[in-house]
Amino acid sequence: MRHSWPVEISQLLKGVLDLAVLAVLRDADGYGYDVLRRLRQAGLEEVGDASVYGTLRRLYNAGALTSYVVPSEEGPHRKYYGLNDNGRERLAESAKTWRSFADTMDSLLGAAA
Amino acid sequence: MNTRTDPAVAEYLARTRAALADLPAAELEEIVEDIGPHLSEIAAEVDGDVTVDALSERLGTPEQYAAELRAAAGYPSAESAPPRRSTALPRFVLWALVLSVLVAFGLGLAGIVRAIDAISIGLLFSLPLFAAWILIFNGRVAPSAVADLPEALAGRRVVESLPDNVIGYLRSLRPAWWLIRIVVLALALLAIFGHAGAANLLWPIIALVVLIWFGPKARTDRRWTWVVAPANAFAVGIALALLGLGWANAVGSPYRPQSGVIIEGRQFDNVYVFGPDGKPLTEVYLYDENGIPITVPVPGCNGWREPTNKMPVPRVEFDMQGMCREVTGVPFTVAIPTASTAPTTTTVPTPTTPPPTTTPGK
Repeated sequence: MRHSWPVEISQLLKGVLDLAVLAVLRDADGYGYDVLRRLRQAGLEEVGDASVYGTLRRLYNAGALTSYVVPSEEGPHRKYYGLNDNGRERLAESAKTWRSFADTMDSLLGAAA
Repeated sequence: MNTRTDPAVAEYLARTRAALADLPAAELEEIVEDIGPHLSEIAAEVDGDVTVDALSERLGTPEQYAAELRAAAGYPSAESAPPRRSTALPRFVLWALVLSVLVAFGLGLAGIVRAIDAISIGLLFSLPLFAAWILIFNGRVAPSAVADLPEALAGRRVVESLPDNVIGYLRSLRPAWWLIRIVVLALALLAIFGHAGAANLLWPIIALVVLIWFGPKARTDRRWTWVVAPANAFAVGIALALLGLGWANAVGSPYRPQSGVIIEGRQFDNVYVFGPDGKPLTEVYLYDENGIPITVPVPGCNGWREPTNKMPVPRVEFDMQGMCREVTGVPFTVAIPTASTAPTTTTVPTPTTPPPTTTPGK
């Protein structure tokens, strides 16, 4: 039996990054770095820069996001991502799955403690 | 916030791109659109010099960054991806395009002014382009494979690093250029028609047909770039040559003035007159049937002088050291036919050897 200890938050994040990205895009569209900052401000300090960009691409390719480029007078043009209907549906489903999973884990950990 | 791409950012981006080079080109472009601004923002937050090392401290090396992005995006790993096809053919196709654009530009620039033998030179240098056409139009080489070559990416980065207003200005010229190049090529046709052999008409005609016929296709099908770009380069060369000619005429440089003697449609720079004994007459004055002097411009080492009707005018020659000399005298001899001892007014004596030419022998 192999233990990797302590459990790295980044390991946990891998499974839920989709959900986290969908969640921060629920209220407002954002470009990559914007999404990254919102995740960090929400407390997900460990999230990797490249992971967020990769996740955005995966969700976009899966048809959950729209994207559009906003020209900027100063600085680089920014590509914004936003939820479409598909994305909102996916967010609702994933949120449900997460809650039931979290409840299960809670009760499991409660029993173990 | 810096509007120009930092060299370190460009290098970091290029290495990330290289690590993701197995992805479809369109997807790679999308990724670059995302992470390019990201890297710029990170660079803006770096204290002190922006270097690849400084960026790597924040983000990991470009290769690690690419691997993390690849894993999160769910792309197939680079090892399991099909092996990259050889870059030899795309590279050949790219450089054939570059060479033919340069040659076409040079032909446009020089071919018109010097009336050099543009046909053979053009054909010789077009051979790689013909081979490139075969490769690209039968699908052996995809334009995207050419666009993904490191040198093509480097070239695009150079263009992208130009200030936006320069690019915008060039874009704004596009509709005008559409018209200008047709006018320019038509002017070139007229110019050549007046001076050089009809064979030299070939290139402007080809360029004209290509630009009108195939130009619109290149917007949607990048394969036509290999046809349209050389034609455009040729037109640019001609445009610059014509501009140069116009400028040279305006400031009075050594281009020949618009006057001279035209006989049977041919223009003469000089007239030599011989007596019945075959000796050249060194000073004759030409008049037409109305008594108006027939003049030719007088060449000189310091430029053209006032036209005169006193023939022959001196010639300008260059010696071995390239020094200019003004030479009088006749550059050839003639044998006057002796069969008719007294030539009548209707019989024009024909020189037998060698036929006088408008260009004095070197």
